[in-house]
Amino acid sequence: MATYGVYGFGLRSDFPFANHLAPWSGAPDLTFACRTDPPVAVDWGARIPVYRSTRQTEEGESAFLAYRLDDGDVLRLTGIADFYVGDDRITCHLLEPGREFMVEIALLGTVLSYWMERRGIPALHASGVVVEGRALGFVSTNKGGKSGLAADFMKAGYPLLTDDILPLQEDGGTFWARPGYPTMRMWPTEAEYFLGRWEDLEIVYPGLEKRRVPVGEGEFGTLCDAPRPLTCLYLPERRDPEDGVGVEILPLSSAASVMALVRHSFISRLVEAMGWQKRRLACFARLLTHIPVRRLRYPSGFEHLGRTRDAMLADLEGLRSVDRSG
Amino acid sequence: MTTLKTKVRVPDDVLFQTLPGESVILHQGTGKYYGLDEVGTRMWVLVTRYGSLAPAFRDLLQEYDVTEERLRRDLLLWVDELASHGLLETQDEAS
Repeated sequence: MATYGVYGFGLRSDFPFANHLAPWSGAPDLTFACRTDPPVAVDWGARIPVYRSTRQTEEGESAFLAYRLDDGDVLRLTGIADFYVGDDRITCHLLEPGREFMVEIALLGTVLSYWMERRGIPALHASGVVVEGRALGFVSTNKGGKSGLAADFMKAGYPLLTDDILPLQEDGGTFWARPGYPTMRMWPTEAEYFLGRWEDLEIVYPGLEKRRVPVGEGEFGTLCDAPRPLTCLYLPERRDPEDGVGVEILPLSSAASVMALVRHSFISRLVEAMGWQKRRLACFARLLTHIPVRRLRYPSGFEHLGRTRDAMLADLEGLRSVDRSG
Repeated sequence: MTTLKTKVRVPDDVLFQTLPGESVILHQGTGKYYGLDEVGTRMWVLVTRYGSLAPAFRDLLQEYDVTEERLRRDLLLWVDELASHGLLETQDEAS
């Protein structure tokens, strides 16, 4: 058994993680185990799922379902694994041996996002970096540019906070951005640009070209492994460089900001099905009284990332000036 | 037909959140979001608080510099618009 730091929590497990995870020195917050038999007997025929994904398996079943049990919830990847989620324990019942890689992807993504949302910690689909001790986040969907922006900051010496999921925790009027874990995912072209290599990097899972990039320990960049106060959220929007548009950072109305945060929640539909959206809306409304959300328009292409970063750093300096004068 | 005697309620899958100077409505069934400006926010608050249009109309008439005729028309159109998006359910008083 080892304990790892994941999203700023201690995760105790004997699971053979393929991702590079950092050791955790404190007491574990959560234990994860994977087994080939169910941890409790459940009469599934008598259970109605709280949530069914519209995405279906080849057999026409919902690919993802969620159930509420008396002492926890079950997240089902149909035909692959059931995750029994409790307050301090997650147990995976692996239904299809050989699909452990799916267990890891689901655990570090949907399942832990769910576990955090269950605790009232919204998990945004975002990357994050640390500038002068404070976190900024790039909120977008897959292929939206968030990893590239984070990697560019890392290349310039700024620590990564998280690559794909940005958990936000409100504490005493401050919004804290929680760290992810020290692995990024990059497409081969991104890895080639930022690391100068890609072929020797492990693939994220069979059939996907995306590669795992270890962070820190002589690999790429460094990881900030502790929560940092959030300072700004950017919504990246890549433009065709032929448009001749430079880097634009535009303010958003409160309503547009809230809508964007809800839309870019990592497990948005599941959160709605579980009835947690109302408290999240209220949380985002409070967040917007402290944290600006900006639309970031920038030209597509690695060669434009440097000036995009410079524009954001200037924007952050402006925010700090307002803080100092206010 | 919507009149000032119409009763309204917010469907269970519709969420409302106030923000500084505006508000958002989230329809969880469709996944769509709607923004309300300051006046729209006040109309929503009153209409949903009373659950009927007549007392909301009365309050709005006191709060805004607007004629009865104009307010009646705008309020009824506004309720119809929100109802058409599934954000409010309306019921005639007689039914």
